[in-house]
Amino acid sequence: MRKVAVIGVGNSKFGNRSDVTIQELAFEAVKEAVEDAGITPKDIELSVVGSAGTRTYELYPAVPINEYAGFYDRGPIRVEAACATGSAAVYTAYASVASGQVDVAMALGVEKMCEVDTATSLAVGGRGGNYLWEFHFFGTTFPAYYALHASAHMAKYGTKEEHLAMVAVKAHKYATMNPKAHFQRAITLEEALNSRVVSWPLKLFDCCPISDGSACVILASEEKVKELKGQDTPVWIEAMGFSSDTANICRRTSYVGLEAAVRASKMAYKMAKIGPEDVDVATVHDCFTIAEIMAYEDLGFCKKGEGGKFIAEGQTELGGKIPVNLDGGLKAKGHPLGATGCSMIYELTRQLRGEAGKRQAPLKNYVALAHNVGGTGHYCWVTILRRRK
Amino acid sequence: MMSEAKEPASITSRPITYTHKIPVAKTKIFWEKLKEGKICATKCKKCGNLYYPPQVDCPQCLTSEVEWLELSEEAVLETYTHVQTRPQGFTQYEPYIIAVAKTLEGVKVMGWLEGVKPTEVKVGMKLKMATKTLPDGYVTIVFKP
Repeated sequence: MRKVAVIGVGNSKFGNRSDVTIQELAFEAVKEAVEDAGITPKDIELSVVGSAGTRTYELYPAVPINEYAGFYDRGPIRVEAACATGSAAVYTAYASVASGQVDVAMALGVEKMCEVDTATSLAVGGRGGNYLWEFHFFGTTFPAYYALHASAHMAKYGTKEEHLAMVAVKAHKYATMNPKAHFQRAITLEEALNSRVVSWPLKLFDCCPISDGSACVILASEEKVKELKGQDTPVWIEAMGFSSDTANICRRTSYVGLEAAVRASKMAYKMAKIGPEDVDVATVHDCFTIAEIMAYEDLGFCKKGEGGKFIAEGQTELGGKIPVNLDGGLKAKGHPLGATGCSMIYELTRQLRGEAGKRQAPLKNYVALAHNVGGTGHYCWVTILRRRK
Repeated sequence: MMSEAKEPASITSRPITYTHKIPVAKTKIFWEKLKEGKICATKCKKCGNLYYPPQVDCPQCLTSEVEWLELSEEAVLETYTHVQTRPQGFTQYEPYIIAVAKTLEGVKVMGWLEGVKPTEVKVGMKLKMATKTLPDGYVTIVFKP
C-alpha cells in the first residue's frame, strides 16, 4: 500500500440550488478542487463519482456528470452507499492510488435533492432500510429511523430533548461562520425545542435540511506529491476504517448506538496508530441531532451513555476537548447525500491547513477524523487525516 | 412549460411512475398466515437460527431447509417513534407510532403501536402483537398494550 495525500479540495455552496443542474453543480466543486491542487484536469487519471441519485431526474447520473466535468475517458466509477456515498467515492479513489493503479484520482460527490417535493423525498428516504419489511407495512421515514434510536437512548441513559436541541444550536452557530452552509442563521435552544414534531422525539430543528450540493477531493501518491509543484501542505490519509450492519433495523442488537461506527472507528484508530484522545478536530454524521450524540460515544470521544452530558459541557465546541462539526455539520451545512463524505474531507483538509478562518480549531497533533454513516447505520467510514508538521 | 416566477428558470420533467410486482412465492406462508392474524418467522433446520423478517435461505449453512414458526403474540417494547410528517403513500392515515418489540422467541418485530396515548408509551412495556387490515386493503402488524 502506498501513502496517499489529499492535494486538492472543492465544495459548492450547499442549499436549494434550483439555479443549476446536477452537472453544473458538480462542476463547481471540481473547478475549485483542481485549482486548489494547482494541477490541470489532465493530471487526473481516474474520476470516481458518488451520487445516491434517488431524487434527481437523471437516473444514471454519473456519466452525464463525468462528461460535463471533462473526464469522459477517465471514469466514472460510480459508487453508492446512501448517505455515505461520498466516503465510498473517497475510499475507491484512495484504494486506486494506494494500490498503484493510478497516481492521481478524483472523488466527486454530488446530489440534487430539491427537485422533488418533501413527501416524495421522505418516501425515498423511508425506503432506505428494507422496503418490503419496513416501509411497505409501516411508512418508515428517515427521521423515524433515527427517532427510534433517540427514544432508546433517552430511555436507557436519560438523554433529554434539551441535549438534542443543543446539538442543533451548536450546528447553526458554526454554520454562520461557513459561507458554504445551507443555513446562515443562529438559533436559540427554545426555538429548537419549540419547533414542530417531525417524528417524536425529533423535531424540525433536530433534522438536517434537504439540500443540493457537491464536493470534490483530489488524491495523489507520495511520489506524485513530490513530483508536482506547490504541494506545500499535503494532508495524508492515515486510515480509512469501514464497517456495515443489517438492512433490517429489527435485526440490530440495540438502538443506543451504531455498531458499524464502533467497528469502523476501531479499525481506523488501529491503522493510524492513534486513539480518540489524539484527534484535534472532527466531523461527525449528524443527519439528526441524536446521531451526533451517538457518534461521540461510538467514536470513544466520551463514555457510552454520556453523549448528552458531553454536549451540555461544551466539550465539542471550539475551545472544548474536541471540536466537532465546525462547518455546521449535516444539520446546518446541509446533507446532499453524495457530497457529504467528500465535504467532510474538504472541511478537515482546510482545518489541518489552518485555512478555516473564524472556525479554525487549535491544532496540536495535526490529526482530524471524519465519521460518515450511510443509511441508518448500514455503512460507516471513519477516515483519519494527518498533516505532517 | 417554463416557470416564470421569482424562482430560477426551470422546465418540468416527463413524469415516471413505478409500481412493482413483488415476488412472494417463496414467502407465501407468511402472507397467508398474516391474513389469519399470525406473524411467522423461519427457522433453519440445520443450525436452528431464527429469521425475522422471514427468509427461506440460511446464509450460515447455505441451506434452504427452513421451517415456518408462528411467533407468540407476547412482546416487549424496545423503542418507538410517533411519526407526524408522513411519507408519500401514508399521508392518508393519521399520525402513527412505529414500534420495535421483542417477542418471547427473541426476535424483534416492527409494527404500529395502537391503543395507547403517545405520551404514555414506555420502553419496556408489555405488548400484544396482532395484524390489522387497513381501509385500503393493506394488512399491517399492530401492537397493543
